[in-house]
Amino acid sequence: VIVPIPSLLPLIDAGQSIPPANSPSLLPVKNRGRLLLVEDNPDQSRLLERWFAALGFQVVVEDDGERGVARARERGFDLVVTDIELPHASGLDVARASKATAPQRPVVVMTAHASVDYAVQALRAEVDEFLSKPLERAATCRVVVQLANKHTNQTGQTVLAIGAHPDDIEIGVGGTLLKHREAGDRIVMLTLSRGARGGPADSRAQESEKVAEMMRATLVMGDLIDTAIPEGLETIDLIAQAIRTYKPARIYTHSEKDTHQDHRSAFRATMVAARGIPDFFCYQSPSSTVEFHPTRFVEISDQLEQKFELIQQYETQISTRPYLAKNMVLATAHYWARFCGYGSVEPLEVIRSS
Amino acid sequence: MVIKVGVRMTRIDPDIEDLVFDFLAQRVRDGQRLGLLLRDGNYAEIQRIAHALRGSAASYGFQRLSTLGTALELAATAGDADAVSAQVAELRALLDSLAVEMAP
Repeated sequence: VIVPIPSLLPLIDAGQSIPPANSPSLLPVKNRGRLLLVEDNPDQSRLLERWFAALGFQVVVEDDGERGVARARERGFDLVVTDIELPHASGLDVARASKATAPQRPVVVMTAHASVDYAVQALRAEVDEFLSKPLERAATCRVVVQLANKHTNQTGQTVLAIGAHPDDIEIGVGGTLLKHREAGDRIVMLTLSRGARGGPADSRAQESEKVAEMMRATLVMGDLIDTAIPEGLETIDLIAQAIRTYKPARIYTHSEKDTHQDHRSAFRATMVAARGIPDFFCYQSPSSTVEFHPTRFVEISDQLEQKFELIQQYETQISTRPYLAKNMVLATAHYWARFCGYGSVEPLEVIRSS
Repeated sequence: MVIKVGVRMTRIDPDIEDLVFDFLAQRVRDGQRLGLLLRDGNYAEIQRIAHALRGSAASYGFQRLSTLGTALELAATAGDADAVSAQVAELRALLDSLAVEMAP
């Protein structure tokens, strides 16, 4: 979701309150999250896919129990909806696999064989809702939206990541933000400029929008002048507005140890605007100096491939920026891992940690 | 769009109209197939088709089709040839009566 500056209007998204029946908030909303639908009846799966997509979910459909179980072991879903009777494995196997991977992620099971036995088994598999077919659209959509919202609100703190230009945030803390998203946190990304010096501003903004959609994050785009971002009032106000609007519990921004003047300005303005935020961390940029001194390392092995996919969306930059090459992204993640038992990590300087 | 199924009129959500046409076309094919399955005494396959119909028809807005699917599934599960025959005949008659009217 792109929010034009200076309006910073509050958004409707997955973090909002649970809508009552027939509420207007069941109207289409962008980025409600990724939904895994496991259903072997093609008539039913096509219909459900259409219903859920209309609500704003990105729907992935599997028509086989085994493939459903494999998908449910992935972390990139916000909600799982599965039929019980499937070929090769049951929907309860899908539910168990999902709960073993992501205990907080809601699971809905459906069946046309509504029976006490199934209901008991579903309860034992710790599913969140049990729906009896035939499904009715309004009631089904209400359940799905409520669970998706509950998932976000239950665990959800808001984290605000601030970058001077499009792609700065993804390079520095893309994996960390993906981890936040998997934990049910709400992500807000504030990009201070549209990066006109590094390519066409409109294209770069579109690339940012695509990445935000993939991350199911709220994107706020400022329009400060690329390479001339001030550290003073204008930037402080922009960041302070985002903090007032989204009330983040945690901030990520550039380090001051950086050769790029915009990155240093972003850090200094954030220090002022975010003085009341208890958790404040600085990420590494390709232009960070050797003085960059991380003491917190976030393990991102499970998110590394996805992080690289995000970075790949910046097509206007890839051919001219060697630091966006996959081997550089991987090498950076592996280098810092030597401080915490190996794997892949993103390094952070800790300004404050509550 | 409004679809007439027998004497009942079903109003269809505009955003699923294309799916409804596909769904009904498939049911007409099912109706033809059920006649052959009945002739061969293949109750297991009849039961499978009826079960799928029961689960999905009402979601598309066709309650009567769903109810018939339930009755056919029960008859096929019980291996009751007379009841299966009667339910298949009723289902095919209902599918023959399909008519579509576009809402103003």
